[in-house]
Amino acid sequence: MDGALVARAAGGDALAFRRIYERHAPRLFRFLCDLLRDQSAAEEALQETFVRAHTRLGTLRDPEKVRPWLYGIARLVVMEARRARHGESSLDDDDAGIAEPASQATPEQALLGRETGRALGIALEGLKPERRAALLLQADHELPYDEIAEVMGWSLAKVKVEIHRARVQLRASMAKHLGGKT
Amino acid sequence: MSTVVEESMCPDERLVELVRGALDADEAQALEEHVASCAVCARELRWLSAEQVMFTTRAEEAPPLPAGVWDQIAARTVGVAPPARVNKPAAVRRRVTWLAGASLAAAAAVVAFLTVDHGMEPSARTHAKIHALADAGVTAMIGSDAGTNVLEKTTTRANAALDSADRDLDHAIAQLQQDYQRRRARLPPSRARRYDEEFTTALSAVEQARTAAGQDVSARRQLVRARARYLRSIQTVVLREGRS
Repeated sequence: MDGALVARAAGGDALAFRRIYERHAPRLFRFLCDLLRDQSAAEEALQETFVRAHTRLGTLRDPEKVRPWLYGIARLVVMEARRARHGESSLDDDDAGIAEPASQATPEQALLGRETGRALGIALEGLKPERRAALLLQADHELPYDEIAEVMGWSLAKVKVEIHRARVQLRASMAKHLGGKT
Repeated sequence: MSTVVEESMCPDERLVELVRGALDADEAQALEEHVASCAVCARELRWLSAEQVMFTTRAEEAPPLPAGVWDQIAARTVGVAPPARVNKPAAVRRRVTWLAGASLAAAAAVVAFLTVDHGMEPSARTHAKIHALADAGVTAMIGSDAGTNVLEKTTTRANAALDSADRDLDHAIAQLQQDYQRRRARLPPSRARRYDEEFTTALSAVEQARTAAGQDVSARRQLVRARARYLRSIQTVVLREGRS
C-alpha cells in the first residue's frame, strides 16, 4: 500500500501524496505533540515534515518503509525546533546510568489509579527528549526495534537499552505520582 | 548499572511482541511457559500489558489532527515537483497532454465565437493583440476548469493551475485596462460613465470572490471565473469602441 503510493507520489501524483498524508499524519501529529508539548509548534512541525518529505520522496530507498522514514524526518524537525526555541545544542542524552530506582509499585496500581492518564503524561514529560521519543515509537506507535534504530540513528543495542531505561524511569515516576512506593 | 534485561535471559522485545499478539502460536506458547516459571518476566509482562492499555487510552484522548494543516502543505508544495519523476505513470502523461490540447482548442473556439458573434472588425494590429489577450485569459479560465474537474481532489495541482490562471489574467486584464483608458478619453461622458459602472460592478464581484478564496480550490475557481467575466466585459468594450 505505502510502496505503491510512494511510487505514484514520487512520479508527481499529488493525490497519492495526500493519501500518504492522510494515512500517517494523525499519528505523526500525536508524536510531535508529545515531543514538543505545544500543539501549535506540532502543527508547524507536521507541515514542515511533509514539505520535506515531498521534496525527498525520490531518495526513499525502500518505499514500504515510508512510516519510519517520516518519523525520522519529524524527529529532525523537532530537534531543529527545540534548538531554535531553547538554544539546545543537542537532544542526545547519553547518560550512563538510570536516574531513578526501579518502582516497586504494581502494574495494576498504575493501571487502576484515578489519575493514571495524568500520571503517564507527567512521567513521559520527565524523560529526556530522545529517550521519550524512542519509548513513544515503541509503546505508542508500535514500531519494531530495527525501525526505531533507523528513526533515531542509533544502534539496535542502544535502542533496547534506552527503551528499557525509559520504562524503568516511567514506572518509577508513575508510582510516585500515583502514591505507590519507589 | 545492571538492568533487568541484562540480568535475565528474557529480552523484553519478545514480551512486547507477545503482548501485541505478534508471535505465532508456537512461539507464544513457548514464551508463556517460560513466563509461568519466571517471576521477572511475569512482572514485566504485567507491566507491558498495563502500559499497552494506558498508551491506547492516551492515544484515543489525543488532540485530533487540525483541519488546516494539509492546505498549508499543499500551498507550499504547489508547483514543486518531487526530484524523481522517472516513474510517472503513462496514464498520467497521457492525461496531461490531453488536457493541454483540449484547453488550447477550446480557447481558440471561444475567441473565434466572441469575434464573430459581435461582428467586430478592428484594425488588423489591434485585432491580433486583442485575440492574443483574450486567448490568454480564456485559456486561463478553461485551463483552471479542466484542471479542477479532472483532478478534483488534487488540491496541489489544482492550485498550481489556478496560480497560472491568475498570472495570465493579471497580464490580460492590465493590458485591456490600458487600452480602455486610451479609448475612454474619446468617449461621450455618459457612455464612459455607463462602462465605468459596469466595470465597477464586475470588479466588486472579483473582490468579493478574492476575499473568500484563500487556498480553497472551489473558491479560487469562482474568483477566476469572476475575473474572466470582467475580462470579457472590458474586451467587448475595447473592441466595440476601437471600431467606432
